[in-house]
Amino acid sequence: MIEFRLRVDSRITRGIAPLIVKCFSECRNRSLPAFPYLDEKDGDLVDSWESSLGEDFAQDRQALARLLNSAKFAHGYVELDEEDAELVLRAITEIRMHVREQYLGALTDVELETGEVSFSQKSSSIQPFYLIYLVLAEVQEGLIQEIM
Amino acid sequence: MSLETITKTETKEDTSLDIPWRVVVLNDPVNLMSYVVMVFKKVLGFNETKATKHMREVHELGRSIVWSGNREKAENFAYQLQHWHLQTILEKDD
Repeated sequence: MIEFRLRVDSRITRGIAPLIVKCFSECRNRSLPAFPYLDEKDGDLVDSWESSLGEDFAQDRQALARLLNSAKFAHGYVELDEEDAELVLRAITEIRMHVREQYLGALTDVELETGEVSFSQKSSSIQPFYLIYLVLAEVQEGLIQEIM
Repeated sequence: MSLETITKTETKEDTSLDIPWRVVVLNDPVNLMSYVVMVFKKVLGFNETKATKHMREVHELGRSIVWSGNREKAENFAYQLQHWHLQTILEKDD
């Protein structure tokens, strides 16, 4: 069992937990990554690749759903089975990518990479999503430390 | 035809039949550096130094060739890297 507490005020995690669940649900409709052969014409091969990836992503999301459904998570505690750790890491990446694409378009790549975002100057429609982006990165950092 | 010539010809034919493929990881602004290093270690079996070197290459140059070799294995690595949500493409190693 992996257990750790996020270095985030639990009022923040309580506040954004429903929004994380909303973003999580939206991820099911996210497009799959581009097929890695840029000039591939074999439709069957592409379909098979995408179908397998889609199934693997769905499995990852199920592991994340178990974490998000835990009452402790909204209070800033991460508690999950070790076997779920890698799946949760991947599913969180998917949510962070979705949040970046759908809600943080006003932020530049440099702002996101360096973390140099003047939070108070950002609109109230961006702030909660930026917090999600940061809190989920914190969960990932914690998990990476646990499993490596 | 000498033995040396036969060997050279066979080697050339073998090489042409097995064109190597490159597994290339592209930069994205979302993934944490620690995450990319971890994925390179897990998927490609890199040690910390090599994983960090390739992560920096992706970050600074926009792409890094993380593996080169036969198509089947390249596909397998590309699939795993995409499963970890790293932007990955396959290129012929001409």
